[in-house]
Amino acid sequence: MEFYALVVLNGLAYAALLFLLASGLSLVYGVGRVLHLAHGGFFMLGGYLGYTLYQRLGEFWWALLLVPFLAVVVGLGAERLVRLVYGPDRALEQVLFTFGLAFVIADLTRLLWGAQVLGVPAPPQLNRPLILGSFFYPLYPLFLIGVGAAVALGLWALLRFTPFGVQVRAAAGRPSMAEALGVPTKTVLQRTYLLGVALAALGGFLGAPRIALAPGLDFTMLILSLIVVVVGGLGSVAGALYGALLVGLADSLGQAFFPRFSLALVFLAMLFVLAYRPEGLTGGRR
Amino acid sequence: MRYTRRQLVQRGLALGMGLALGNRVRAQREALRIGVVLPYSGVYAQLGEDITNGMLLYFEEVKNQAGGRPIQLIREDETADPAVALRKVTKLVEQDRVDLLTGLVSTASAYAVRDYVHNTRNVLVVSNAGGNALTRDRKSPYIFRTSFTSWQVSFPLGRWVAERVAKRVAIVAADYAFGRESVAAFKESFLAAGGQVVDEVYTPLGSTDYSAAITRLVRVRPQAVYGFLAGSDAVIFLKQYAQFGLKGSVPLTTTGFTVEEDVIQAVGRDAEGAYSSLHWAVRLAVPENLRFVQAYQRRFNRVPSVYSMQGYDTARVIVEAVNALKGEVANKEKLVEALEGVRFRGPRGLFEFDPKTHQVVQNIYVRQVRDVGGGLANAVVADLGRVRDPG
Amino acid sequence: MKGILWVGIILLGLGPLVLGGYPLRLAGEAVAWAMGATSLAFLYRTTGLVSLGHAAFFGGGAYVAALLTREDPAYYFLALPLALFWGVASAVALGWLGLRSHGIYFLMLTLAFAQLIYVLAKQGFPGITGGDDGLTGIPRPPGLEGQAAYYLAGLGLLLGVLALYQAFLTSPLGLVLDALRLNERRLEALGWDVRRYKLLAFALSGALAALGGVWLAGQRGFVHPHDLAWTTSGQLLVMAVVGGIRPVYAGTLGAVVLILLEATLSAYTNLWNLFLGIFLMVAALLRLRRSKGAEHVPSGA
Repeated sequence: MEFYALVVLNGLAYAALLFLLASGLSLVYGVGRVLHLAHGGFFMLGGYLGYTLYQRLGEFWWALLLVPFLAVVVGLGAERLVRLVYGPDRALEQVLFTFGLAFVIADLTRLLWGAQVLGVPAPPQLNRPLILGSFFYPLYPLFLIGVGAAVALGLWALLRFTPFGVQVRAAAGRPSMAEALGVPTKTVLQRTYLLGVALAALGGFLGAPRIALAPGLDFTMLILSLIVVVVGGLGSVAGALYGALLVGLADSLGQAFFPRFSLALVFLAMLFVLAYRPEGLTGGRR
Repeated sequence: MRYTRRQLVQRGLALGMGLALGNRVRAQREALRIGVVLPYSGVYAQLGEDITNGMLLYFEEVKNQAGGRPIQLIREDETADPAVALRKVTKLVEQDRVDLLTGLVSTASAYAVRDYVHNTRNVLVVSNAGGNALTRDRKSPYIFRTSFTSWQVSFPLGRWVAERVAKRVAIVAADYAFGRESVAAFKESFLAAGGQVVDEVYTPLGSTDYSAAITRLVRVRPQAVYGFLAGSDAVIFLKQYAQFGLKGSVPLTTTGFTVEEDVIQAVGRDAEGAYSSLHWAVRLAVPENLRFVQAYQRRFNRVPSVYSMQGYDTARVIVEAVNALKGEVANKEKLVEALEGVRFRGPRGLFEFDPKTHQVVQNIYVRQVRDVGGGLANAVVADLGRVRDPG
Repeated sequence: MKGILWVGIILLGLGPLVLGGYPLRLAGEAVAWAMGATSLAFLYRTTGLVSLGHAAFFGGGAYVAALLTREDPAYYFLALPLALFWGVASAVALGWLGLRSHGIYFLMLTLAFAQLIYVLAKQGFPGITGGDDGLTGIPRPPGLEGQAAYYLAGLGLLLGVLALYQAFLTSPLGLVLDALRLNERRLEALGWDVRRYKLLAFALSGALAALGGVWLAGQRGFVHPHDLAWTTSGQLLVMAVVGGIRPVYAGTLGAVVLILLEATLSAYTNLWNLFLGIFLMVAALLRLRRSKGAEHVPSGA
């Protein structure tokens, strides 16, 4: 019984990280119609930036607070570049361009931080297990689940109730109409991109105590976030949430019961969802 | 013609100088070209850098000379792709015309180049790739290995764990050839010494979450855990092992790479207390090692890793063999013979090759991650003696 | 004009034979990759579909060849048709699953498909596929053991394929597929079974990719799960794009350029991913500028 609880909690913790990464990816697609294959790079960059901040400041929480801001600074530059390939029907060019950008980020990261595996310890308050009788589970992943839920709620509120949220939904739904109605789509695009990048970087640093920082992390996470976003429905934050939950739990169950085939299971799930709902669970946007 | 005495002296001097200078000109021979194939980008880049640094350190100590010839290193990046490794090896052999090859971190790459190296009769001194088969059923007279085999570093640990740590053990390992070979070797001696394996968990290489595996381990209540993971996998596993509260309560025994210095740097306290078996330890108290560690730290501002040490010894092996041949390496059979005869005391202890397999015969040590005043490091706890891979 | 082009190409093709050694080996690999990249360019040219899953056919063909010929090189006569069958079958399977999607979704579907096969080969059944180490000791077809002979045979094969491709474009079938790419809806409205034609294009593409894979296995003497990974799919795509994607020679040109680039760049810097990345970004931007002009030029030969 406890074993199943553990498996579910693991899956949820993983889903939280995936959601942070995928929500940004989905939003950027929704508003800019571009599949941002460099997103994994920002996840990794967040981890590395946070590592350096942690080394300098000695405090996990301060690093956590500052990581999104630093990421936004980098994102400003990146957005100028990615802006060049916004637009529908440009799958091939977007793939090439954002892949290229991903390679650039990967090599620059390796140049700055080196190739060895780096680690960030969980903050001392969370680096121990929660014990309920004979059941124990580390606190840190529980914290991650909490953060994931909070971010999901926050994004929902943002999109639903704030003027910015309305603009995002307008620009994502019908960009030309939105422009006609006075929505500054270029600014909305830029802000959405920066939000996405900040979320990804936050996810990267939050994930660092659980995952190791090493070259290759960006593409590993990219593949997973692509699965999440496509399964859930591109352009939809709710879709990113469902997708993250599906992938996180599938991975966790797979690892627990058939570890050899856990990743295969995830890809199989993705294949089936796409075969029967070609535009993801929530229908997404073209 | 009749010379004046003056002319005679002049000509004599000229002739004499010509002979003397001529000798020196001849001694300034063609460089010894060593092809180095190591990963310089990608996941294993740090290992490539460490091995290279170790080699450079030794070459500098012998003033970059071997057999009277200046040493020239030609480096190529094997990345993490065996296809690239093969391409680079063929380039080094056919285009750069190297005298011998060395390197190879990944076992898959070593297997990929094995046939080519063997068929073209080029000497290869492998400085890392540890898959058993390379010096067993896929061995070649032209291939030498200065690092280890998965069997060699894991087999001796099994018996030690059964006798000194616990008899009820759960096993966790990365699911790939090297991981499985390590587990098999550990079990061989562990079971023979009366140990009992209560569960075996294999995790996919590159997993980002070991919660499921650790949960399974907890379930079977072992007295100790044997684990083998490397690189990022080791880092994540150790962190989660501590997060689940197992660090203090269930002793962790591993094959050295899992808690080597580079991993300790990344996880800090989470690795404390872990035992491991390896053919070296940074704090191994032999004079050659103390000298090596100091020199390496001074030169590169870092603590050497086992990979650095392997690079250092590889360089020495090459230099000593070439010295024995006085720089004449064109005859590959003679080069092989010279390499077989190399024997010295290095940072890991006594180094020699098994002439049957061309695999290094060496001591295996048990270490434990301890606070050694000023930080965590692997302290040597036991010396398990000379271990020779059965081949 | 055309004649001179062909003569030039043939001379270029024979060049490596003269140079021998390392350039010849690189050329041998380029031939295999050229087949793979051409299959991808072919798919895009005929249906407008971008696939990030061709490693499944390419690497899959390589594995089929590896598994069969390891025992006995004579089995090549069996390995080749089986590999082609694999290419066709898996492509049709993928096509059947995915042809309801377009653009990005289709791309992701192909990615998932290839990754599934990759993961199964790497982790799922290591006993059969050699797992993480791959399979070594793969021979070449009897009579083609020498590098020069193997290269010549491969070159001949590639030229044959390109000639077929060229002929296909002007054939009735080729014209239908051209129309499909230009305006799928209209074609459908005219009563053509668009789906069937797409599947056909897919099947042909898969078969060609598998052929390239077989050739690569023989050239290198080993196969590795890497050949099934999305990075290989990406590499094939980049080759196709760099070569221009539309012309018949696109895959070949791209393969040659990329292999040369990789061989020379990595000798000078270990940041060559950085340069590759910049190269890709520039290539994408160039494509965008070009496509701002007329795209709907009816294609002839």
